[in-house]
Amino acid sequence: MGKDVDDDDITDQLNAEVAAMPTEIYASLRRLAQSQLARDRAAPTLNATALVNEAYLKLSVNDPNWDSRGHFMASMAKVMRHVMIDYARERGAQRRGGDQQQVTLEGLDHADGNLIEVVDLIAIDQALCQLGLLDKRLERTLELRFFGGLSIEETAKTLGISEPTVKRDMRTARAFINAQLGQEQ
Amino acid sequence: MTPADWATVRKQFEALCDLSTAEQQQALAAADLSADLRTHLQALLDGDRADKLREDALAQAPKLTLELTQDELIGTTLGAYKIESLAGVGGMGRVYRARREDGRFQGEVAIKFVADSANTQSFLRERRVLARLQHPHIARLLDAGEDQAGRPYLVMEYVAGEQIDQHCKTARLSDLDRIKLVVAAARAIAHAHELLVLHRDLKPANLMVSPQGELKILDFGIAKLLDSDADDGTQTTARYFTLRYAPPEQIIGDTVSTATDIYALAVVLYELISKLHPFMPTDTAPAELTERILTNRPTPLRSALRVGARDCQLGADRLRDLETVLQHALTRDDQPGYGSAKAFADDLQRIIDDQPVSVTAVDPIAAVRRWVRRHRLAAAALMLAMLSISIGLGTALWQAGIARSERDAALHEAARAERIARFLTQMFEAPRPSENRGEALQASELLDRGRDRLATELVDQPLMRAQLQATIAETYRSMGVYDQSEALLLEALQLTSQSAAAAPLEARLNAQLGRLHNYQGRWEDADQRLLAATTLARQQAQPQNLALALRTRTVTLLNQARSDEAKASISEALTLYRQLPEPNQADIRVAESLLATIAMQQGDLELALAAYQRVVADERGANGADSARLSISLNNLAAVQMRLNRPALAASNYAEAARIARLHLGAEHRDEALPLLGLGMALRVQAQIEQSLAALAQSTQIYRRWDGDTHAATAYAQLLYAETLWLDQQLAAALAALGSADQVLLDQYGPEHVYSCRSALLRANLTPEPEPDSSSRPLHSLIECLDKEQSPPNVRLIAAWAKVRAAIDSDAAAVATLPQLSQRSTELEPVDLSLDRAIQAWVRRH
Repeated sequence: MGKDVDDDDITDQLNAEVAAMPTEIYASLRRLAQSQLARDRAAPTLNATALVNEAYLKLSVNDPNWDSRGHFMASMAKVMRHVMIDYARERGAQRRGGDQQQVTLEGLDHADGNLIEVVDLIAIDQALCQLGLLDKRLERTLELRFFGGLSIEETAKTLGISEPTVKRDMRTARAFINAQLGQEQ
Repeated sequence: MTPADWATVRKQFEALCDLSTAEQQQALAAADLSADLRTHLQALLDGDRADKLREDALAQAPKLTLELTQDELIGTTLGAYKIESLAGVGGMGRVYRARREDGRFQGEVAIKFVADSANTQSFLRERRVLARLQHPHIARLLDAGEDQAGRPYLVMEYVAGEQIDQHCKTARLSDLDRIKLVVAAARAIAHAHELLVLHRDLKPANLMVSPQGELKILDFGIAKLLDSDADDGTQTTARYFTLRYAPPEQIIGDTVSTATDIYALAVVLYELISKLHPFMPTDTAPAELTERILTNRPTPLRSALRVGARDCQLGADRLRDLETVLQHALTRDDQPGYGSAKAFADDLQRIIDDQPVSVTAVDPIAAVRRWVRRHRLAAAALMLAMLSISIGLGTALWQAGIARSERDAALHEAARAERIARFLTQMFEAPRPSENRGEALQASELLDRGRDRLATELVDQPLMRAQLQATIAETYRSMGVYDQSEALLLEALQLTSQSAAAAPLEARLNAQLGRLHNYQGRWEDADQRLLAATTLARQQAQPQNLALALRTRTVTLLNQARSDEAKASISEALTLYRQLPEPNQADIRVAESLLATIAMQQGDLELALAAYQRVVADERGANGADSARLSISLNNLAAVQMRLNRPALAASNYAEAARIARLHLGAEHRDEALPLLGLGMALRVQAQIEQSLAALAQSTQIYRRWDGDTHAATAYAQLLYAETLWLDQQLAAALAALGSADQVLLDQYGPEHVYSCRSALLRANLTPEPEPDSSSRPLHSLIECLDKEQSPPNVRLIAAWAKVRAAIDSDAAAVATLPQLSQRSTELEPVDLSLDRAIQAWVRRH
């Protein structure tokens, strides 16, 4: 289908609808996330892309015009971030004693298909906040990629920058976060 | 730091991050920064190098698993074992390295704990599974138990070594040795299958190789017992596979089988040989991978080696066999694939032993033909193709190009649509476990469900509903289910008339409906709808919709042979496309292509040439020299060049077009046949007979396989091939090649048509004792045809035929036409050298 439609009226209308939706989105997304997490109490997982896509379809904002979709995705990424951090904190609060809260990152497309990556999600979020104070665009880029599960191309489109810029930003953001995480040790 | 400071630091970082450590230090020292900022910059550079957060983990959609660590276990004793360290984190739980303490069994073991009590069922199942398996290439289960807290654990053989891909690299294994490793794995898997166990998560990480070169398969943690009735609530197939090694059925949650494991091993071997993934010839965004696995066919191994510029030491025969074997193993549900891992292993062993393998080159054609029939795509596409054939050699090629691209796009879309329909519709419904879904539903049924849900769920949102209906209608169309598509679109249109909110969609829906009618071959209806669409789009100032409608209408008009109107239509569309705030280059290219097509139809060759050259250059610039679309544009460009008598240029473009088709679609795909045919002619005209014959032979072969012997396209290819053989004095071969092509052409086009006449003439020339008038009638008809056509190469051809006839049978009528033909011929450009030479030789002999 692609960009067959250029309906300014529709874009405006949808944008208005999207802007009006945040609380609703958040609520829906939380519900979706919870249902996804509930599927396996033992090792609960959240797959960012699947979650966002599911929400997108369910909320029927199925518009081939990129602009409003991109806008939607951007808000979605923010919401995802909150949901994940909330969840991590909640889980952390439930545990007591010497058990440490860990988060494993499983990138399904890892070069070796492996899944060993143990990081502290809350620390990452804090580092990201720090980064946001200095450089809003870097924070948004990372947020879209990491929490929103957008591809490089989609991120570039949403932010209105080129793909090489996205890659460069990701690198810088990662370096920053690593530097922050390193300090805490 | 202030944001301004940060900007400085960041800029420096970007400048320095790719330098070597030493160079970075130098630059740092020399940089004009305060001490504070310098520290920050250093921290950034260190962070860039740090391993803590791996680049690819951060950059992709992560899956977050929240777990507890159990580090308190390290150093403790568990039964007869002393736990030494954490070896890794698996799907089910953590794995520790331990050592047996009681002297009876020396050596290291791996102890695997369940992460949470809820996983106990799967854990116990894994224990049952592993207990059955005894194989030198499978990590053995040694012991099991429960700790004081009641947590169950498994004790397994500890496999020290590297993953198979790492091992191949460090040990610099030859390709043959790599295959041997995979054979070992396949035999182990075959053993498991015989005991009714599926692994389901085969990947390099689970294929360990010890320093002595011994392979061991790990982690049957999500393995499935095929005979187990127990439905453990924790069956989580959809989440616990690795996308990269997963076959389509696993991705969409269908039932998995022994083929799933075979598929995974095939991917592993493919990667070990070519370093590339069968569905990702170059680096692709992960989100695309799913779609590619679901809809594409795997890149042939040899192409991957070329793309990756990797050498293979196997030798041509073995490599070809390996490619065949792997294609067969990377099965999709419309192909049989290997029945058992043993069969797969046996074939691989045959490659090693230099024996012929059991499978022949995969025949995608039969499968595709079934697809085409099932989805009724042929009708519309063929209509477009038929339009082409009536106009002679040059135009036949370019217009078939349009039909081809539509048809191929439609085929690709159909496969894609089916998968996506299923996927999407799973989303529509509430999440539930993907196991035991019962019968696989037909994609159309799923779409029907989606369509029904729309009616109930979006009653008060007409705009949304109409849009979603349009989406589903599009999916139906691409699957060839035209009547459903039409029904939905009409319904959506009704909505737009009832509700002001939905009105903006009206133009687009009309355009979509018009396009559908094109596919159905209902040109008048299409014209009507598209006119309505253009009117509406103009009224509502919707440039993109207008351009779409105009462009679609161009195709309609072309099919009605209204080329002047078509030209006006596409010219306007092109202007619109160019004026858009964000012009879409792909759309512009398609529009320019259509313009070029029209130019050619109207005889304006120079214009067509310039347009196609531009399209090719744009496409190359946008998508690189291997872009799939280039195949079509190069083919068309070459066709124009042939018409302008530049055969050398045409030949190289045809060759390139064929190469690209092969690269993307595999050998023997129908899309390669057309450029090969053109290549054959371009070579022949330059008197390069041998190469010409090779190309024509191949092309004919492909057409025969795809379209059968009674299809017009095949017959035409046969005609060209037979003619060329005749020119090369291979009379018996020419007769054989001609076969019954002349009859097919006669039936298809009638006796007055260029092709029928040519083939009749050829037949007469090949028959030892022809009937007296057998050649003159076709010859005259041919001359009449061509008087209307003015296509240079054909006139030369006819002049040559006439000379021949005149020379060998003193055909009075033929002799009479000679002067006028000769005159026409001399007015024209370069000669068909091969023809001339052959004629001279023939005439001399007789």
